[in-house]
Amino acid sequence: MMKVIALAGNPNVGKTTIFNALTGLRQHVGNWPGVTVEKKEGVFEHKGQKFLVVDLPGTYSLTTHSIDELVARDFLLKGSADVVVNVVDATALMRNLFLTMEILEMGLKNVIIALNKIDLAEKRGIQINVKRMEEILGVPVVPLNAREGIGIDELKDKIVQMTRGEIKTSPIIPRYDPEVEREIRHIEDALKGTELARDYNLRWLAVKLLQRDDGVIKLVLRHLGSEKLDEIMRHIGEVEERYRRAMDLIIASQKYEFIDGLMHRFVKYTHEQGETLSDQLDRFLTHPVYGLLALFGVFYLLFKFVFALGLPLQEELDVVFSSFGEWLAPQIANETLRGLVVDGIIAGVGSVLSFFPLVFLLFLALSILEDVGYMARAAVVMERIMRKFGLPGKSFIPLVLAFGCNVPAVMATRTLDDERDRIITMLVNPLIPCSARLSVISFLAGAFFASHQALVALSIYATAVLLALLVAWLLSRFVVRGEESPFIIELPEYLIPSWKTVALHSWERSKEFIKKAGTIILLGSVVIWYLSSYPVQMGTGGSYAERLGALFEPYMKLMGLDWKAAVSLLFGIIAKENVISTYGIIYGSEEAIAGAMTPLQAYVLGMVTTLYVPCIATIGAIRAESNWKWAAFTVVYMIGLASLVGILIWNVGTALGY
Amino acid sequence: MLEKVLKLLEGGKGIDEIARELRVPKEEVVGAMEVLADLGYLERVESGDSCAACPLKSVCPGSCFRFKGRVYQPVDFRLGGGKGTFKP
Repeated sequence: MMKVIALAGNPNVGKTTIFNALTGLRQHVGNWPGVTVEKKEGVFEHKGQKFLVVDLPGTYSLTTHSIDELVARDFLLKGSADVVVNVVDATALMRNLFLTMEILEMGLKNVIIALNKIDLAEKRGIQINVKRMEEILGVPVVPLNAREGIGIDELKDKIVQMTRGEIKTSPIIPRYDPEVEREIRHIEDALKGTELARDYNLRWLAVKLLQRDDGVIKLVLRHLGSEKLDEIMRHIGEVEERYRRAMDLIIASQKYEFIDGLMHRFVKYTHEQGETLSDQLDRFLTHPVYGLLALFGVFYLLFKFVFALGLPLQEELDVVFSSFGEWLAPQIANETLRGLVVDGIIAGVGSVLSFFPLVFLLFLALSILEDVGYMARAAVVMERIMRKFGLPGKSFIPLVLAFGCNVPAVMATRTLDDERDRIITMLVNPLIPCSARLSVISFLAGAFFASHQALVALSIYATAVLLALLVAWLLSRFVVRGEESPFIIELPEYLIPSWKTVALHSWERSKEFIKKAGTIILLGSVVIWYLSSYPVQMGTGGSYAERLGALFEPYMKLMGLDWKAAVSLLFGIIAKENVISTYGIIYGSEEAIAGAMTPLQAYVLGMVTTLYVPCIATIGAIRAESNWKWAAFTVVYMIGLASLVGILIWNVGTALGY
Repeated sequence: MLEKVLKLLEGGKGIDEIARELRVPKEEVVGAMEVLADLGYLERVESGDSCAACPLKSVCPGSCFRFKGRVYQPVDFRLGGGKGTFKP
């Protein structure tokens, strides 16, 4: 019969590399019984003996708070493994040895420590005396560099020796304060006469009971009865009162201290853990002031890159669509059909589709920034600012997601437990400019601001974000008050992006833009064309579009805009890109649009488009995640805010002579 | 160290600052945070599955931001009646 080898360890310590090095291609992937946790098994043969290797889920401890931990713990507890190979990362010994102590505390004697990344530890000045470590921990320690395959044969040898009973171990067991030890002994004594003594290590049961482990409480209750268990739990409560802390934290903390004490005996740091280049970069990029300046700089360059490369391509595409329309028009005899296809669909959808290069380049630049690791740094800067404006810490992720699309961002507010926090985040969310609004901003910036497109786009984005923060501050102060909570972000490593992944991701995102142009924008274009062509052609003042726009014109004039802006904004509620397609249908070409508005009017339109009513999908998402009342409130306050900003910019701009 | 890390996190300190203050590598601070998260003193904030799980995927531009960092938040906890029922 094959001997079973269990691989246990923290996540990302090289467990899978060791598993692959041991088993090669002889692997099988399935699920652990009853749960959807992946179970990897493989077979290897060494010195004439066959072994079944089971890769346990990566965990940091063996509590039962996650299904992964439960699976790993149950497997070890049942004694299912003939040898437990505990993979330990030599560059982060303390946290890895925490799991080691949890394993040894179970009373397991068949443990081998695979000390992986030993080469990396040496490079970082961490010198581990392996022999001493072995003596102190009381189990074999095999140094490894699994990526290079160094140490794998020694590990196999040790496994064989252990299964043959050629290695005698005396594992160290963590010790705690005298008071905790007294409690452990007290519980051990209470459990001694029960059947549990046969199947479990009583010290481990006692420690887990002290930690109020749900599984162990149930187990002990079955064997000890509720009266005895209540007495033990009461006792634990008294100890906690004396410590003024919960027992699980006391035990975990003392275990850490115990490990620290052990490590002093076999680990030496030969040089100071100096600041790496990555640390220095982080210090600059996440600095409250320099980080913010860097954020503006990076996004300015991003827009510059998008416009510099994208606008010439956009103009080319615009010419292609116009020429196609001109070529197609004489081919269609029916006047109505010609109007629908050429003036409606090609003019509307074409004007939106011509922005594909800009959208693709934006996603390409964002993908690069994400993969390099910059976006997480930018998020740290933003989170700090958001917190200052009274936004709850957890709302940061939904707000960051909103830069992509407001709908999933609204849905992501589900992660917020507090109802008030959820509402604030949901209400502020649509103010963050999504990528759909970027095409409108690009359209206006490209058509009206020949040399400062990037600055114009950046200013609209920055104003929108600033207003979102101000609204959040007002809401958290006067409408839905909440408490500020600290938030910790673990930054990913800086990486050179894989161009294949970046290109693939940019395309995945951009192709949705094309899909949207072929569905909702197409439908919108048909409706806009109909409204502008019936009952009479536009230009007479009698078309439905003109009549509709005329209703809002007096209000729009306060912002220096006309009925056409009113109609385009109305259709923009369905999808923001409809603002472009409406202008495309009304004016027919980009040159005509450029001649119809002043740069100030275009800037006001860009700002109002960014700030007014969210798209219909976002309104629906807010309603679904809260109720109609909050959805209606969002629409009303955003119209009010957009109008206020539009009127202000228009009046200040005209007063300044723009 | 575990309790020191928790205290510093609750005080709003970042991973780098804690590593400097306790004179340990950043990896050890992150490890301590993971243990604290396992014990229920820190919450791992899920960033969601963004677009993949969105029912409106077919009509939206599919441009969700990929957030790559890991986010934690200290859990409001009091002895004798804190966050979870498993706590004292």
